[in-house]
Amino acid sequence: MNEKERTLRRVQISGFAAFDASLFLDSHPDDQNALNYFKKHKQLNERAVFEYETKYGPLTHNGLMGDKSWDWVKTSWPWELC
Amino acid sequence: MWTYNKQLQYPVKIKNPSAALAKVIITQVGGPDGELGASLRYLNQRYTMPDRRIVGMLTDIGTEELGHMEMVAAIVYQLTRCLNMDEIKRSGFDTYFVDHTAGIYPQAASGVPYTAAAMQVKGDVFADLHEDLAAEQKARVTYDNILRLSDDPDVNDAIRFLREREIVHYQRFGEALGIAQDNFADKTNFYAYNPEFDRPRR
Repeated sequence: MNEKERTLRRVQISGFAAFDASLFLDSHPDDQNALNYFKKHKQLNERAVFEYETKYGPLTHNGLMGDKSWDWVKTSWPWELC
Repeated sequence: MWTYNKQLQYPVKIKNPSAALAKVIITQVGGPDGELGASLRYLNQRYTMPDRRIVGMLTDIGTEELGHMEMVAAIVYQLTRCLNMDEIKRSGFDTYFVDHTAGIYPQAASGVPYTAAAMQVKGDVFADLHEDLAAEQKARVTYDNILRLSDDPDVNDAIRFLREREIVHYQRFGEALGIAQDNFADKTNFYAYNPEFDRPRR
């Protein structure tokens, strides 16, 4: 795994943890443990996203992008192999 | 409304192309129990659901299934790079290739194009949730069958993740069914009315 893949893995892992918690929260909206778990992993994910976007470009339209060019179409797509 | 996130939910990195595997795995893009069908089923069922917790679950799981559709498409895309014509002919992938080359076309492994005829939105919370429980089981079995047909570790890693998600979704829909039974069933006359039609949420 290269550095870019490693950084993206951190985004994916923290994002998945928060997302899976969100499915539980959909049917248990007042569960404090689940809410805390979600908040914790969401914060980890925000940090990981920032780290990734700084070096490798935006993950969403609202993500980090220089204002000189629309990096959205200059960075790799998720199914590409290099 | 949807935002697109430029990442796969779980990584897909296939080292070895295989037309034979692509031929069967495409079924989880556009087949009867595939991810496209799952997303359209859940995203369309949610509008008339009588409880916001169930709407939330159908929205979030339906959205996740779109991400899974993308993962399966990524698997097929990576399996069909740099194919030589011999492998295309030998594997039986030629009948797909002639119409779609190496493009991703939503169809079943049998060649039947994606059809909403394989799904239902019945407009009744009990019928719809049972449909969803069944859908997750059917998807799980399809992934089981793919694992029987594949001995590629890169493919199997991603497929196992997708298979586990089907099982988790099955549990979640079970809870939604519990919510429906607790809140919308007349205990003395279980199916006395349709909560989505007779006493709508708003």
